[in-house]
Amino acid sequence: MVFSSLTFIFLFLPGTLVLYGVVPKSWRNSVLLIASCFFYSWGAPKFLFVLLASSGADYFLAQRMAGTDQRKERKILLAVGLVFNIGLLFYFKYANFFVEQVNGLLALAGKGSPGWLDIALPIGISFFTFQKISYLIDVYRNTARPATSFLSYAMYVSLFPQLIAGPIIRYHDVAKQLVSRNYSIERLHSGICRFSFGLAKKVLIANGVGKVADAVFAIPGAELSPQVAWLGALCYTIQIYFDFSGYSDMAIGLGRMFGFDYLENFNQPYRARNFTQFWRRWHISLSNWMREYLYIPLGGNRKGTFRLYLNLWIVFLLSGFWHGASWNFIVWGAFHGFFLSFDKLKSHWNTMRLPPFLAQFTTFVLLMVSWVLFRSENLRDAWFFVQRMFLLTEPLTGVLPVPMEMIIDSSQVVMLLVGIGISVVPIPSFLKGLTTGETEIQSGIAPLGIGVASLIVFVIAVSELSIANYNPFIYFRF
Amino acid sequence: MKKQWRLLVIALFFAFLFLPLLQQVTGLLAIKALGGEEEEVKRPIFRFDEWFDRKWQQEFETWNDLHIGMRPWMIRTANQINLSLFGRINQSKGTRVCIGQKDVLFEEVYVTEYTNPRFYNEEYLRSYTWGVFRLQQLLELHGVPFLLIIAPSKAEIYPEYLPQHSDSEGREEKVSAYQQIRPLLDKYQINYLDGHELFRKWKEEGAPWLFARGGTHWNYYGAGKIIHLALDNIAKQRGKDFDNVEVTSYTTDSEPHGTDNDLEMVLNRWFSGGTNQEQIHPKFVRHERGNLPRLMMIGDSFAHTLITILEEQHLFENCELLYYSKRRFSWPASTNSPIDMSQLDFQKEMLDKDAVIMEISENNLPKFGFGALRAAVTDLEAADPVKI
Repeated sequence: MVFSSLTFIFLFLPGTLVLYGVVPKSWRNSVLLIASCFFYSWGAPKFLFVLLASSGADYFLAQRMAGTDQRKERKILLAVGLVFNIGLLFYFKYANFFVEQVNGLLALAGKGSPGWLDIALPIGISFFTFQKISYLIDVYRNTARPATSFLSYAMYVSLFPQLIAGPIIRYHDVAKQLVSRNYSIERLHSGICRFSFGLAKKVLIANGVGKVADAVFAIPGAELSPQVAWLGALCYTIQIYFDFSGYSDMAIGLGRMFGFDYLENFNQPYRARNFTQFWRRWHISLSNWMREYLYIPLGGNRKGTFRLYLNLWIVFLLSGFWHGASWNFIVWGAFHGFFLSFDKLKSHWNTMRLPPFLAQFTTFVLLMVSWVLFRSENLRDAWFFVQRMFLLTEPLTGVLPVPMEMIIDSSQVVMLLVGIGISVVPIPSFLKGLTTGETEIQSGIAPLGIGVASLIVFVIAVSELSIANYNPFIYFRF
Repeated sequence: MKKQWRLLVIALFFAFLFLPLLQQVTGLLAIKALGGEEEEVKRPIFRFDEWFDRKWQQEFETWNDLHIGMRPWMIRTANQINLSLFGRINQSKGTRVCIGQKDVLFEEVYVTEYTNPRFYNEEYLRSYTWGVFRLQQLLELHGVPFLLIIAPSKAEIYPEYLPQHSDSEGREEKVSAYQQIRPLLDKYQINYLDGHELFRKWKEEGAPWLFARGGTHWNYYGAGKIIHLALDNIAKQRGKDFDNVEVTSYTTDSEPHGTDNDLEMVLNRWFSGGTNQEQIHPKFVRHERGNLPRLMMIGDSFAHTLITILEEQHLFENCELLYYSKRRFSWPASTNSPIDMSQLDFQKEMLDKDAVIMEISENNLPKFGFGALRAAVTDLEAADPVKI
């Protein structure tokens, strides 16, 4: 069940809101935990046990850690927790990938492959594993006290708004909210607006241009013209932003409805003028996590130039691998690592030296290329696609390229332009509420304006969702 | 003040959120059902093993998506927005409709076939047409008249109303299956009524609309005129006077009849844009002759309009329709059931009839009989191998 499904919007959400509203305050966390377990088991019933049992192990280890002053014992307990969680992530997400690589090498050596059954990937494991690690490290560092109860910790790990696609919540950011939360009309209003705008971003823009991207990436290489290749890369660039940021908006909005405050996850990332700025604006919760639990512990920029670059590369290769178990993602991470390193070379060319518009444009084009790596089935396809974009391959004769008008229709053109506009044009502060649903605009009837706009896009988005499975025939009755 | 505004927004959001569930459970509001036919999806029965395999959840979501309360309202809203802004509806499968000029609706396949007709190999067309000739010949041996009716395509009759974006440039140089097949019908002396030619002629003579503006099929006025000619034709062949009707005039109102607004129904929009403002209803004059034919018809969806008129005007004793060789409809019992072509005995089915009528719309050419043709010829040849 995803947020942008009719079952979630019209059954799960109202049901959970009603239950949450009618039970005594002391039961609310239990209601949220049960709803979250139901939500998770709807999509991955067999893995609910893995989620809860591993959370139980974390809870036990953290309690033990908090109960001892012995630095060595604390370290061992942390190490056990980290190995356990990273081991689970490795097993479920990466074992297939490594077995494939070993099989490839064995095949090269003329040896047979060992038998191996594909392991199913539990949804959200990349996100909740990072949250679990955050908890263990926060308790180890004493930046947060251990959870007051297993219920409280299990809720932190499994809370449905952020369970399967983030944002990645660091434990110390929500520890207090797990125990006690504030409710207000303003917060609920803001949550509704945020959820509605997020839904609209996902359903109206991401899904609309996503169909174009899907069509382009499905075109056999020989029929792919450079114009269509650029269109596909552009559509995917807009799709992935609106898909992911829309989902984050919905998660933040849902969190607010239930009294939680999550940190922002996106801030118009395509306005970045270089890759460093991009990573301050894109998937902010992952960047924060990587910085706090990986980059700084590795030494950050405090151990000289060589270590700075080494640490950057480690972070971005791992970040790429975190996104998916394939070479595409590793190369994608390396691509970003390369341009981030470039940003650090003050004496050399970097995009900051260009006029602002040109720097933003250059960064945007480079990001489009990086998304081709992300979207393609494999590195070979990605390389061919990039070659077509930059006219690096000879035009094939005897093959008619697929024309642009067969790929995109008028509604998709409009959605693409709206998407580009929202992504790259600075949003005036008085309009920010329209996209974020924030309530800082306090004057006049602004809250009503934002509220009405959010209701309108909500109705349009759910209407659009309802036609996804509507395929009537006139002849059926015959 | 600000708090009140926010409360209003919250109340409205919760109303939107809860109304579909409330409607699904109680059916509180009388909501007009959606037009068009959808595949039935059964509500899944909960089983733990299916829950753990995620099968139940997937089936439930599919069922729920189709049965959620307020669904017709939501679909009409989405369709209206898409049509008003972009002139199309989002639909991955099903009947695709496009809006022509002056809000005249077309089924997309007919527009495509008009603008870019398929070209067939002559041998291929000849083999189909030969089959029709053979059936006619075999029926003739038993004194059963045969009539082929070609139903016209709306796009061919009213090309001036096609959507502006449809590219019909160079259309005159392209040859349609209908244009390829017409000389073959004459060559094999097949007894046929050419709806394409007749409709164009009637249109030129100033006839009112022969198709409903919101439908894909011929309207009852156009179909009524075809019925008159068809009954006349088989009566002459059979040498027996059958009761007949003649379309002498028509009335207009805004009430569609039968298949008149089938495309408009599928569009499911809030505002029809005027397509159903004027419907043409034929006025029939009956010619009583004391005989009603027993008919066997093989055809596509255009046959339904013909049979509706025959039934409403009491113009047959009984009638069987083999629809696309998939279903069998029987009158006067008004029953229908799926058919297995290999199980049909065409000697029994056809030889006791007063006429066999094969209807095919020009878009379906050259697939005469949709599989029934070959089966019928094989059966009838088996009945009388020596005489042929």
